[in-house]
Amino acid sequence: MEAIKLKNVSKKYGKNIVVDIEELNIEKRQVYGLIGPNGAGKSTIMKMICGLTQSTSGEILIDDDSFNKKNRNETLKKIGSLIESPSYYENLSGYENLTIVRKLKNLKDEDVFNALEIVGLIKHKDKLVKHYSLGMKQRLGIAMAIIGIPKIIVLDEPTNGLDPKVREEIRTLIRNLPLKYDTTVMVSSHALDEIERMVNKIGIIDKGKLLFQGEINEFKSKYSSFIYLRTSNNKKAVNLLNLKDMVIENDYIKIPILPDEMIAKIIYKLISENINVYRIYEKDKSLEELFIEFTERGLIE
Amino acid sequence: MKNLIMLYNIERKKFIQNRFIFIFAIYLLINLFICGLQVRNNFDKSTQIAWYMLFEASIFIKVIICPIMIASIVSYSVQVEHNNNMWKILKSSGVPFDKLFIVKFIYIFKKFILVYIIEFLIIYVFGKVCGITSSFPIIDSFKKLIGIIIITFSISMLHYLISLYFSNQVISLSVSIVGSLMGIISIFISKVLMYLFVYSWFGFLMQVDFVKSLDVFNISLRELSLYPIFAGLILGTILFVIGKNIEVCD
Repeated sequence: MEAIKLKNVSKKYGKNIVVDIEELNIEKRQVYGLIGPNGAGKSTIMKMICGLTQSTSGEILIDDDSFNKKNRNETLKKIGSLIESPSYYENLSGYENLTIVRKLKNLKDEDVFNALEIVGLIKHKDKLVKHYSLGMKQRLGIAMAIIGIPKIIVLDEPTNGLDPKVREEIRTLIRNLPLKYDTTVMVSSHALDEIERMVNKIGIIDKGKLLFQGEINEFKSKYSSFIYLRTSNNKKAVNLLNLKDMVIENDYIKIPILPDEMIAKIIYKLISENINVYRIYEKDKSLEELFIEFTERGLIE
Repeated sequence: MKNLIMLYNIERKKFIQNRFIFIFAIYLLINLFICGLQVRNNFDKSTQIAWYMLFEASIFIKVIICPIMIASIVSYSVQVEHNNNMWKILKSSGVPFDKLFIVKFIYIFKKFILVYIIEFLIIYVFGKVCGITSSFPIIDSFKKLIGIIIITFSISMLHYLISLYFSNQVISLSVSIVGSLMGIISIFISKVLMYLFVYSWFGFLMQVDFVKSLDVFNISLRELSLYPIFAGLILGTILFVIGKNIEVCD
């Protein structure tokens, strides 16, 4: 059962199509990472889910119910969000800001303290937000999103401006939210190594289109591993082997990952043709390297 | 109703360190100053005309300063949400936007009502202190008060919409400055413009006429026009209906 589902959702500003998604599924109790370059449409998708902007066409389902004008306010009570940058009243304290949010959402006072505790702001709760550091403001924004632990939490670049220790704390928090509190989390980030440590499933978006959706391991196994060969005559070896997506890169022949038997056959063939194999190794790409290649090459499933 | 009270209390919390009181204090001081200047003119303080002369000065200055005061207060109340984009939180909170719209407006508007009541009391006390011995014209003063409140309703609703739609509050303030200048000009040059231009409607609440007889100007009173009350209610209501569905700039 999906917590969030987008079906044929598009968003246009004038003639400019900023989002055009055929299907995006986020299962319940999952941490879903939305990855994309700047201007890809990540924030727009998140805004549509949080009711901050309407889709031009298509359907958004929250908990299997279509998200529309009639049930908008009821549905939004199930969603907590931090979109783009944290929002706050700077002349009020952190506690007062969260109290306003908890009253809007009809929550209990203890939810304020819980949220402050979770993000590590309990000691600064009475300080005016205008005296908060950037990191503290970001934590306040996260607190506003998670207060009362809603059914769906949408976080747009939640670790922006945070120091490494706090980043790790927030990553751990996000990773554990579904199991601990029976909630679903959708998170976007530019820091792909960070996404890797937080999420179960990813969606890669570029120019408004969803290029890939699935488990991280699935993505990596499909696109990430390569075999590197250094031979006595790389050019001759490439012509001889004639494999798909084979390139010469810095004195090495780079081949997409193949089964062991195929590798053995390749080496045998090279040696048979008097091409010596000097070095051979397998290398995994990081999610960041994969992502850059993927969006540049525009691979579509 | 419970929800509206809750939202109202939230609104109060946002403005704990507000600057409204300074703006209202300046407004009242300017009023008092203008009334003081008026009192220095020679008119018979034993007749009711004396009270109308005091109010005349106060209402005339309203054409200039009220639009700017209203725009400043309304813009400030909206800017609190535009700053650091609290609209995102409010719009995604699940609370219907029209309730947020109404509560914010009521919170601000009730302050204007309070200030005008205080202003009228100040004028009454000031008149008594300055030696006006005639009876206070309660009915006409009450009509003027209602007229001022309703004109303020329509002007503040206009600026409320401008402030919601444009995040740059300079636009609302600029409109108020131009509006107040145009308001004064239309009072002097064209009755037709006065009917059309909301910023000049305060002029309809002025009742004193100076009629020249030989070389002497005689003061007479005309009937108080109820036009701004009806026009203000209509305009304010139309703007209110539009405003509930406005797309807030974010």
